[in-house]
Parts: sequence; structure tokens; C-alpha cells
Amino acid sequence: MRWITERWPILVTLIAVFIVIGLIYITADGRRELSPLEGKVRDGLAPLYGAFSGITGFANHWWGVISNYSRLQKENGELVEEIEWMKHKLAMVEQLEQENASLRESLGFARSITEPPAAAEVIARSPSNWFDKLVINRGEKDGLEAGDAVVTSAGVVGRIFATTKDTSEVMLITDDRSAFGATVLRSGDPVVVEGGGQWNSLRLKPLIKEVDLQVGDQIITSSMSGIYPNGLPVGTIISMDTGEYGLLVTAVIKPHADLARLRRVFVLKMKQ
Amino acid sequence: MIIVSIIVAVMLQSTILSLWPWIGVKPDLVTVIVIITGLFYGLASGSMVGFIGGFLLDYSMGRLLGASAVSKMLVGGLSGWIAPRIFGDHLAVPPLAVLVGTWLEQSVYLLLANAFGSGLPVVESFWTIVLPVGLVNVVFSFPVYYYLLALDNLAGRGGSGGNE
Repeated sequence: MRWITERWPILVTLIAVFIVIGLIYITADGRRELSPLEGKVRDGLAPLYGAFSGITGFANHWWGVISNYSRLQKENGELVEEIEWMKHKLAMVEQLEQENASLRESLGFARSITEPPAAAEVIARSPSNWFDKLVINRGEKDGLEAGDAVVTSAGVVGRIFATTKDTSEVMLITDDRSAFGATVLRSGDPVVVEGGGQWNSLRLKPLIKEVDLQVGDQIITSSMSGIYPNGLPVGTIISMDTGEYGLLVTAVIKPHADLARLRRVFVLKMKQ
Repeated sequence: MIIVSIIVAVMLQSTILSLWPWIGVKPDLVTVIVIITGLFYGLASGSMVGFIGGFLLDYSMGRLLGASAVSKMLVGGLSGWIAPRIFGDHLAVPPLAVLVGTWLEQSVYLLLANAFGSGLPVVESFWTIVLPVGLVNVVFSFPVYYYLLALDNLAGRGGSGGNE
């Protein structure tokens, strides 16, 4: 007993070290299920994060307007012309969509996305430089759930990892835990796209031996892995490592979506 | 007040500071607060604030709960114990301690994360995260130093300036 009372600081430190190691081990891959207390804390902080984010967005917007006024005027003229052209294209796409829907119906194919996308604002990111993530201002009460795809008009961003009543945590495609099936747009070859933990690049691994890849190839999602719907733009191949004997090992992809400066995203409900 | 400052720092890192990365990284204000707390109040306070600050950061990240707590506790304690002995009482102490302390803290976190299977590329991470975060944190060393000094004066302690 005396031995214990004399050495209690060491014993307490050792017990604390074991508890912390256990905690790190248990939470190493993140948790999909947040405890009720965590959910309440996150929901409670959401308006505050939203306010911080709103101030940032406001400052960012007006700084952009002031510093780019003359460029914006020129761009505006170009965009008006582009809108006219896009209206024409949209009409064509709508016609093709109708054709596609009737063909799918006649063949008995189901669509992978059954509901219109939900718009959401990014209210927070990871506070650390090591593992990036997004927190958006839509959650369970908006019908979102883990696994739903998150996109922007530029391309795929990630998927919902955990939800609370009012918010959702998004795992980015660049996250080291992320991996999904994709296709090379030019050749149609199947590949796997993995996150490497770096916010501006992804790793590509071919699924077949004689894959046809080139620098500059566009990569789109494939519904094969059941994670994302078909055809969402992922990124462009910027470099390839062909290995010592000329056999392709990996390629590096630059994501289309600007993952470092996301403000608004869309959530696609993933239902078969 | 220091803990409240850490909570605000975590929120700033999650929002405003995330949108404008400098040299590719966001500052780690929590580490700056922890190191300067160590300089002001010594080993025990530095370690305690480091543990709590790191834990809040881990909690906010949602994974590897405790890894930042350990790395920041270590650096907070070392800052309180070693920095005044090595550097003495000099105006260059806060930025130097923040630079060296951040590099050490980020390196310990990298090793811990990889020990638990994160698979972060060590050499690349060292060049793209560890080194730049140290440099960015130095910019915040004086603002945080004078902010904590003001808090200290407000609390009527008059700045203990180092050792316990």
C-alpha cells in the first residue's frame, strides 16, 4: 500500500497514457456514430460556425468584387453570351434526358439518384492541417444520411460520413480513407481512385492489367463500387508512375472541384 | 480564459483560417497558445493546457482522439521547462519557442498518426505540413504573446514570465 501511495503520480500517469492510447486506437478511423452528447454539441455550435462562415464569405465576396471589378465587367459580357448558348444546349439536354428516361423505363433500369439534390453551405472544415473534412449545414432533419454523395458543379467532392440533426460531416475524396470505383472517360477502362490525405491530389490504380491511360485523361465516377452514381467528373490525370519495368503502377489525379475553397455543395441521395 | 481562447482558436481554424491558407497550410493557433502558456506559467500549466487544447482539437476533427492531446501536452510541458533555461528572458524567445515547438509538435503528431495506421507520407508531410506550419505559427507568436500577457495582467498576476 505504501509503495502505491508513494508512487501515485507515476501510476496515474501510466493509467492516463493507457486510456489515451486506447482512445487513439478506437478512433483511428473516425466514427460514423456520434454520441448523443457530441451530436448536441455540434448542433449547438452549428449557428456559431455558420456565423463565422458567413462573415468570412461576406468579406471574401466583397474583397473579390473590389479587387476584380474591371475583370468582372469584361467577364460579365462574355457570360451573357455564354448563357444564351447554354440555354440552347440545355434545351437539347432536356430532350435527351426525356429520351433516356423513356428508354430506361422500357428496359426496366432504375436510376441511382431518386431525389433532387439538396443544396448545402459549408460551415466548417477540419481545424487541423492533417486530415481535411467539411461540415455542412444540412443533417438528418433534411433527410441526409451517411453515404450520400456530395458534389459541386465542377465535380465530385466526397460523401457524408456522419450526421447530426442539423449538420453533416463530409469525408472528402482526398481523405486517406476514401476509395471508389471510377472510369477513364476516353478509354472506358475501370480504375480505383484513392485519397492520399493531400487536399489537391488523388491516386489512381488500374483494375485491369492493360489499362489505357494518358496524362490529361478525364476520370469520371462509376456506380460499380456503389459509392457514387455514374458519370460525375472526378479530375484529370496530371502524372503517371510506370514503375521500373514499364508496367503502370499508379497515376496522380488533380480533382476538378476546388476542395480548398468550397462554399456551397449539393448532396445527392444515393438510393438504388 | 485560456481554455475559452483555445475554443475560439479551434473555431477560427475551422472557419476563417481554413479559407485563406498561407503557403498551403492554416496556422495552428492552439499550438501557439499552448507554447506561450508554457513560457508564461511553466511545465505543469503548459502540459495541462496542451492536453486540454489538443483534446478539443482532436474532438473537433473526429478521429485519433488523444493524439494531438499527447503531442501538445508534450510541447506545452517542454516549452515551460526547457525554453526559459535555454533562451533566457529575451524578446526572441516567443517566436523561437513557437517555431521549434510547432515543428516538434507536428512531427510527434505525424509519428503518432502513422503508428495508428494513418499511412501519411512522412517525408512529403514534413515538407508540405510540418515545416510550413512552424513558419506560419511564428507570425502569430507575438499577437498571441501580447494577448496572453493582457489576459495575465487582467487576472492581476502581472506576468510570471517563465519558471515555476
